[in-house]
Amino acid sequence: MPNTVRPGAFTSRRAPGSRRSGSGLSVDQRGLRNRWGLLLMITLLLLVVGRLAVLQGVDGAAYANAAEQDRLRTYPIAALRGAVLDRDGNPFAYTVDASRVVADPTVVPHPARTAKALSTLLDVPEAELTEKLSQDDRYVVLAAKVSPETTDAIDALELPGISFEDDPVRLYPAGTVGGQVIGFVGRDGAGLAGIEQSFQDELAGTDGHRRVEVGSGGNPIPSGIDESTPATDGDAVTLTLDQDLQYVTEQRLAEACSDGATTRASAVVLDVHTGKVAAMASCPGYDPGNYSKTDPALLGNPVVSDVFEPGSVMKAVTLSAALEEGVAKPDTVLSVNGHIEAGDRVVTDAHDHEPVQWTVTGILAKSSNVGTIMLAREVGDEKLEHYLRAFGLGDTTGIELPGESAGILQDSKDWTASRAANVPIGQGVSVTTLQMASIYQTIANDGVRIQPRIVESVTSPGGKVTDAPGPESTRVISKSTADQMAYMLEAVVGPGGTAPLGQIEGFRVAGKTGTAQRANPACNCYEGGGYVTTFVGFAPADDPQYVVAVDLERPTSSAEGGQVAAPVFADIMRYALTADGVVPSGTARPDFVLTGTP
Amino acid sequence: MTTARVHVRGTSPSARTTTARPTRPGTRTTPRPELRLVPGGTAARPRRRPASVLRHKRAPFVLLVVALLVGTTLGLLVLNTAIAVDSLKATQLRAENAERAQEVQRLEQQVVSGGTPAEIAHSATGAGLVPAGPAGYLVIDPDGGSELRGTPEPASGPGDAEDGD
Repeated sequence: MPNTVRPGAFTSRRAPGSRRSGSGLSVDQRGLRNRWGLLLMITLLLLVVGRLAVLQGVDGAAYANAAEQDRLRTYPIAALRGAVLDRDGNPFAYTVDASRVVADPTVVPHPARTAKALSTLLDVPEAELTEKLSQDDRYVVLAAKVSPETTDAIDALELPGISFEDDPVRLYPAGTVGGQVIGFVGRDGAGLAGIEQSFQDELAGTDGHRRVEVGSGGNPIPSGIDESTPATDGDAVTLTLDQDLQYVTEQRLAEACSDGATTRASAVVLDVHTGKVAAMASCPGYDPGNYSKTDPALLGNPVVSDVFEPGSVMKAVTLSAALEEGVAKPDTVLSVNGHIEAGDRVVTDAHDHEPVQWTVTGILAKSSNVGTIMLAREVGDEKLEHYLRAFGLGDTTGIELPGESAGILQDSKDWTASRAANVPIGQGVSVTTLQMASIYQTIANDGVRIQPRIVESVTSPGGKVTDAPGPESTRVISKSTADQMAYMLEAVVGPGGTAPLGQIEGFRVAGKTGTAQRANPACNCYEGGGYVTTFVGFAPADDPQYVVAVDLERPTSSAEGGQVAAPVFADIMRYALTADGVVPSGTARPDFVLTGTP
Repeated sequence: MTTARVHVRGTSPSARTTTARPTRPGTRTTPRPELRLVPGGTAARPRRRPASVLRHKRAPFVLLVVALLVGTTLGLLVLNTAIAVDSLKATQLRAENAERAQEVQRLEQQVVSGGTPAEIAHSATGAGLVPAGPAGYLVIDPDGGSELRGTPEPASGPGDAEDGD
């Protein structure tokens, strides 16, 4: 009897009727349930394992990377742009560290208070800062090109949400001195003019960056990732310019420009033996550090980009051709009339006169148009064109500056009779100031033309100096022709010449004046174009060191090259010679034979 | 085993109920060895003894592991601290370096801006200097004689210094 309730070995100890007892299910049903349960479990397990495999194996790298990126901050390291130096290493342009102050407005707790604290330091109106800091944005630039001192002061305030980025600033310590040659850089730091433009690749350098693993507060994790690719600073470009001579040249031109009549003045100084540009300037100039506030029309370099008809200074080419071709000698006497017919018009000398017995030297010293045309006709148009091109006309000089003009020189076969009479006296042919200087450099350098250049070398941040490629040099006229030309050009500055104001105390000077009508770009005619008065010369005449070319744009021809351009030439040349320590030879100027009997 | 114990407990009351039965003398003596035999504890006892001996033998190993663990943890802590200190020092030095570079930059800027031709000309004029006029040159010959070249002129007074050159 008691055995009926006695618990057996295979009976559950759970209370009868409990759901989990499985009472009511047959053995088959229970087996089925177990099997489905097992299947369900396996399926779930597979799902979990599969998902895990996908997360860890397939997408694992991506997720790990994303997590790392969340902790990694990349800060750009800006490369410092290379400096532009004069031949002695004085900087025309260089770059210093500065910062851009940026904010994450979502982190800035009190925009108004923050703006108030920053306003005076950044020199930005408080209202503007408040507006920027209240934007629904994560990145706003509050101020650019902020000095390190200001950055430190802001840093000391420990304002949340305010940070700094590299934003180097380009400085032009010399201001307007050399401004047109150096050029300037735009907001993005790329060169837009002058050397800054033509040497952009060398000057720019390569930016680097620093990657740091940071904690939630934005501070670097000490043992975390901290790797940096250093920036490679740009190369320094050393020019052939002499900053002092450049300054003197600009001062002298500025003085010329302020005489009330001169609207524009340009000058270039070349080293006779190397073709290196020692100074190059125009007035009005501009300060590259302030280019955005300058009239865009003034942002060029007129010495290489502006062309004009040179007038009588071109006679040196015509006479060189005449001497070289054996048409005449310096003492050959010609009977020169006051006027000469040329096609449909008549060309006169500056003042019409009765026939004079001038030597070739006299023709140049008196700047006789008629005499020059007579000699040019002896030479012939084709030969004359050959010499004009050999002296570098109608082609760019290849100087390392952007926007160089080739000037205008028509083929001689297209010359009309009047054009053929105009070209030898510098009309109907256009040149740049630099081309004009290059002609006289050729004569001064015993007849060998050296391509003018303005870049001396490029220096890498590591100190490796790469010299600029050597300039092309070509013989244009023989040494004897060049010597004869130097003698004749000295007569121009001598007694009876057109430019006694070009003389320099103690030194022998050779040069040539010029006055020509300037084409008016508005009407493509001469009316209203004004005049260009020029003086180009070299000194010392007996051992030339420098060539100086000066041209002034004036509305009237009231003053000729000898009166206004020659004194500018003399002042610049005097400084160039004195500063370079050139000693006068002490020899006397020869006696020039300007007239004679045929 | 539990079922076995239950079985034993269950048997004892049934044994009491059957005490009246004379046909089974000495029944009290027979279940007793059954009680002794059933618990496996008696059999386990001798096995436990060598286990405790083993535990005593394992102790140095466990201690070694624990020591290694503690040692490694401490070492890691020390290393981590050292790295952190170095890193902080590096940051500090970097900041100092930047400060020095800044100072150098500031001074260089000062030198450069003071050395521009315009600034020098201005300072020179301020100091009462005037631009030089035409220079005279004394050329010494190899034989000791000298020759004056050029025409030296006394410079004009500071008041006339209008030219930039």
